[in-house]
Amino acid sequence: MKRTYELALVLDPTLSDEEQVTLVDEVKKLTTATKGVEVVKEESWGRRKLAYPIGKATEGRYVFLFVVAEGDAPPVREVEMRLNQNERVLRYLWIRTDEDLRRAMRKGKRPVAAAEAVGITGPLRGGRGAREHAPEVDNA
Amino acid sequence: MRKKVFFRRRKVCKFCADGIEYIDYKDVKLLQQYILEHAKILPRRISGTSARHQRMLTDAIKRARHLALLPFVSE
Repeated sequence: MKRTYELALVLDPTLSDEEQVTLVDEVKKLTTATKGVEVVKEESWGRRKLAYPIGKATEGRYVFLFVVAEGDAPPVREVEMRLNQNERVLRYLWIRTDEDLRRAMRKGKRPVAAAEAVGITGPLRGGRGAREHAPEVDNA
Repeated sequence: MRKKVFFRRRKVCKFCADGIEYIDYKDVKLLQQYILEHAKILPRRISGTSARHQRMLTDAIKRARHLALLPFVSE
């Protein structure tokens, strides 16, 4: 059964758009080094004010990668090692999402945007206002 | 002597009522409704959130804090 992950990145706000793309591409390449691992969706929020300053930064560039692994796990350790070394990465967060998403799609009444992104579907029972609850993305 | 009568509105878990089974750490607008002005997590004795959903909520809030989407403290 496939496993799904999300990798959230908070990057240096002084990066240019091109530099961000280069950095994210590097991370993607490293992540997909394992056979059967794929980045199926990428979400970028652009620059966003941080809730608290990190070092000298008061803003960050938010990027989210949605990862699907058909067989072996993605090389989480290696990616983390690289992210730790890179001072343009302010924060990162790896989470595994498939178990929670599958349960949510089985039992919940609302579509889950994060599940759609990685292609996890289930018998949603439908419910009132099912659409309007999808998490909103500010300054998308 | 008159007995004091308190009327307490029965609290219901918003997540149970809405059938929400996944609380996304990226959903800042939603999470913000469950932190107090000093950025503490709203206790479920006040919000009425069910134990399961409170657990999902705190996990999501803590993830959001790590990513500086939510504050740990605000004066």
